[in-house]
Amino acid sequence: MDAAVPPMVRLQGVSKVYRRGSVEVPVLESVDLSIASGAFEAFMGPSGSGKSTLLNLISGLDRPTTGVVEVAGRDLAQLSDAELADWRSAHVGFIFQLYNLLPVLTAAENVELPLLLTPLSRAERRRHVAAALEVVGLSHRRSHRPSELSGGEQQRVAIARAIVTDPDLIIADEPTGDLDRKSAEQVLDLFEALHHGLRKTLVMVTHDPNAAEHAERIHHLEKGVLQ
Amino acid sequence: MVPLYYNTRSLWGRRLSTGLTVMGLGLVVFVFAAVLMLARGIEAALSAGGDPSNVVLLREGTDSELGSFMERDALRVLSTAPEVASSVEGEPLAAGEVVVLVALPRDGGNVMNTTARGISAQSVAARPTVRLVSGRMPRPGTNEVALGASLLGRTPGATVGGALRFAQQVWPVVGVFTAGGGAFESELWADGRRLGSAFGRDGPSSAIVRLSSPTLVDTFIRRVEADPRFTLKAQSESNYWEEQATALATFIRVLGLFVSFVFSMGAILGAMITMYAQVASRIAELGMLRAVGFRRRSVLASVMIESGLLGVTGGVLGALAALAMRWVDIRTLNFQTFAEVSFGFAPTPGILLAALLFGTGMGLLGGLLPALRAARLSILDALRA
Amino acid sequence: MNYARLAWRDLRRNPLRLSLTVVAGAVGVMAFIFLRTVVDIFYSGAAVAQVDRLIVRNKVALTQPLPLSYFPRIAALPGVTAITHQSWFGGTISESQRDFFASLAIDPASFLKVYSEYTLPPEQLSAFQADPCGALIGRKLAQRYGWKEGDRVTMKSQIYPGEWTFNIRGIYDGTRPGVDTTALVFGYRCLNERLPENWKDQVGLYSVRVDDPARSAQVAAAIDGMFANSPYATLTESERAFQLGFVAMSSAILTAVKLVSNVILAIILLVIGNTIAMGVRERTRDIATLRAMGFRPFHVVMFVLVESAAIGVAAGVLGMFAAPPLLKGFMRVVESQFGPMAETVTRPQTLALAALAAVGMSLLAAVGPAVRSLRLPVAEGLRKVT
Repeated sequence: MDAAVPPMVRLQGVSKVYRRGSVEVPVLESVDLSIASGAFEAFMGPSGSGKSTLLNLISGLDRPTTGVVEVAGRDLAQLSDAELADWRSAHVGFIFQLYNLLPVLTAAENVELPLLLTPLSRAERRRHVAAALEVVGLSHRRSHRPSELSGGEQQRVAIARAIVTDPDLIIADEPTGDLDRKSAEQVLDLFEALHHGLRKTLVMVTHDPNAAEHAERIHHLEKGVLQ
Repeated sequence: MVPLYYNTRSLWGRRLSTGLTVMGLGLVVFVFAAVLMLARGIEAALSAGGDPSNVVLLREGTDSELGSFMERDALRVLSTAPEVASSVEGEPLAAGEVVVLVALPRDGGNVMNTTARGISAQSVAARPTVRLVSGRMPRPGTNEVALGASLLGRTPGATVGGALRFAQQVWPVVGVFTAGGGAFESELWADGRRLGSAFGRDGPSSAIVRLSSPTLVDTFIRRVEADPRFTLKAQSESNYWEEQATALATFIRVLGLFVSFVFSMGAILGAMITMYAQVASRIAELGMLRAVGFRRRSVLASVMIESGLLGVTGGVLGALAALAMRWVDIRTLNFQTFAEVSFGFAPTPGILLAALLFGTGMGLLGGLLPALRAARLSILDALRA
Repeated sequence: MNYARLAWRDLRRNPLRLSLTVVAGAVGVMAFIFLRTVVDIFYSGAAVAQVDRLIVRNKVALTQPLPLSYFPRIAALPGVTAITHQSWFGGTISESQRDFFASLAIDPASFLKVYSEYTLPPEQLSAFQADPCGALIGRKLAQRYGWKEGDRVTMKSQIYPGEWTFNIRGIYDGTRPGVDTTALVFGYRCLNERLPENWKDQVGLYSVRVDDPARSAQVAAAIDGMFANSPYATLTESERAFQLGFVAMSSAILTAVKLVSNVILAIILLVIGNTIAMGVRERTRDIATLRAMGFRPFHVVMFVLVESAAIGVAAGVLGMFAAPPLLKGFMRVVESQFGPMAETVTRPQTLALAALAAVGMSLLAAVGPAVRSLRLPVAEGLRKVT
């Protein structure tokens, strides 16, 4: 591979404006950004600075008002909503502040969920789930419901779910926001392992300077503008 | 007490659930009220024919004019009784009548069984509620007929100037009359002798006798029954028509109330679902209310009131919808007499009140268990949720 | 793990609500079946009507009689294989409406030849035919009053004067379900002999059996043509048309009952719709998460529909089982007011229709919430605290 390898994420002149009634609220203003493949980068900024919006654009959950969003060499604007959904299932893993596990499913079933969108057989799916739970160190909790797990454990299940499809890009939105110090460290250690061991590209939004420290690079957002 | 606007706002906050539940309750109340109004309507339609000063004479053992017959002599003797009122010409207001069933064609090939009443000279005078609205009454000795208003246009020729055909004869229509909404409006009237001869009846089926005062009815009835010369049954006209309605009205009431009862189970469950959800989504709020000093019973009352509100709203909507039914007219067979009657939905204040209470009751019943759950919450658990 | 399992787990998220919804739905299905069966009761006469039977009545009105002299003339017509007559007696054993049941004067020699759906032991039949004032009663009527062979019943008639006493000579059954066994029939001779001269030798109507149902219209026309210009003109129609004529006159009531049975469908719709809507609302974040992971809107809609349909199926099945006892309870109430009624049978079609309606309503109920689930903004839903 040469130096011409495209970046994993490339944003060019990206702006996002929300309409609230007749008022236009700019959330992001001409953001240019490039995140290399295999990088681990963090975004910090106060509430309302546009961090989450930026994350939504990168993960294909939202579309920019103007500008180009390219992920793994693809211009997301070219994809229809349905294609975008397929694209997300193949390329993006999500981690949320509130874990977003389905309360009615066990840990293993939650991890298996994204695999339902793949053509894998039942046995293969089970193998993938076991491997992912192994990575986050929760094989012994596989049959527990989220309500029976601690916050840290729930977040680790969510991480297993994010990596089970082997995505290129992992998006984490305040992954430690709801966790105590110790659990947060465990989660961040896992991130480092994913980054160094599995060469995943990690993009994380956080309030927490300690968490941001784990990233290779920290971006600051202020009122929709990348500092 | 937890303020009422807390309840109204939280119901408004979940408009969809609230709306669906209120509609469910409303539909049940609608059915409940409509059925009672219908049964009342039948009774009203039939009993409106009865005048409290009039007495109907039937053969003993029969319940209906259609199955009755009597001797002319009996009527002649009884019309001289002192209780009997007189016409302006001084004739006793007593009339022998021939009552038969006529099958008239209806659009679509069906037949409608219609009561035909063969009247005599005093029939109209004895019934003050009967009013001509157009044309005139049939002249004696002719085949002319007058139609009750609800027969207009129901069968070919049923209009003034038209003619009906039955019993292999032609019967020109010369008039239309109303009768205060009573059962006579579903009848056709013709000359008694002509109708009798067309149907092979040589005497009257029954007789109507008008007394000078409603208070004399009992005296007259006793006179008829005590006289060994007659095997006749005398009955006040109001009683007679009320009895004609009992079977149909009872059937509709039994069916309707039974159905309302079953439906109400469904609606109560619906209200319960909604109220459980209301309580579940507000556990933290309820905990806060308790924490700032509201008693368990205030919380219980608050949830019950909220659910009662659902019921009252459903009750009002259902009752209003049922009220709208008064513009609908129904025609059906009275299976006591085999003749068709026409009637409407008759709202009464009692029925409307019952409908409101029914709706409120369903709401309260549905709210009971959720309210108990809300009241039993421990403050600490609720605050933590 | 698969989609169905996910739907099943979601259903069980709130077991209380699920069971309340299913029970409410079942109550609705039950009421629906019940009401449709009530409508069927009205049509039951037409449903058991024989295709090869014609009813001959006075053209003027049902209550007008026909002369007995028509009997041999109709019997002699080509295509007629059997004929019998009957006259409505309108008998009562007490003043009470509750004690009312059908009573008819019939021709003992020919009755069962035309009405072959009634059956009784041969020795009872011959005893009945031998006694001029003998009577037969239906099984259900016998059970209601505990009457048995040899009992005497005294009745008053709403039509004929005086008191009449009949000797019960037998109890008849129906050869198949749905046949009415609540009537009393007695020999016509008993009635005719006591009537005044101008009432004698008149009957209510004739029932005629034809050899070929396809030719019944021709036979009917032949009968009516024969008497067209007599003072007692006839109207002949198939038994089914005759019965439907009665039903048509009650059609307003039947329409009302059918309407009400549709109201119950609306109630089912509202209750299930409410539950599904609540489910979707509470799962906003779950749905957003699934969507973020790459599940299509189609998947989400399927989850909602499957859940709703499952509720509908459960409610339908439960309601189908609960309906027969309800119907029995109702018939007991009705019989206490109106006297014995014909056997009521819920038709399989009614059950199927009810089940279909339950599932249909549940799917319809899911449409709103499903559309709502599609419109959920994924990005906001992900961060929603519920």
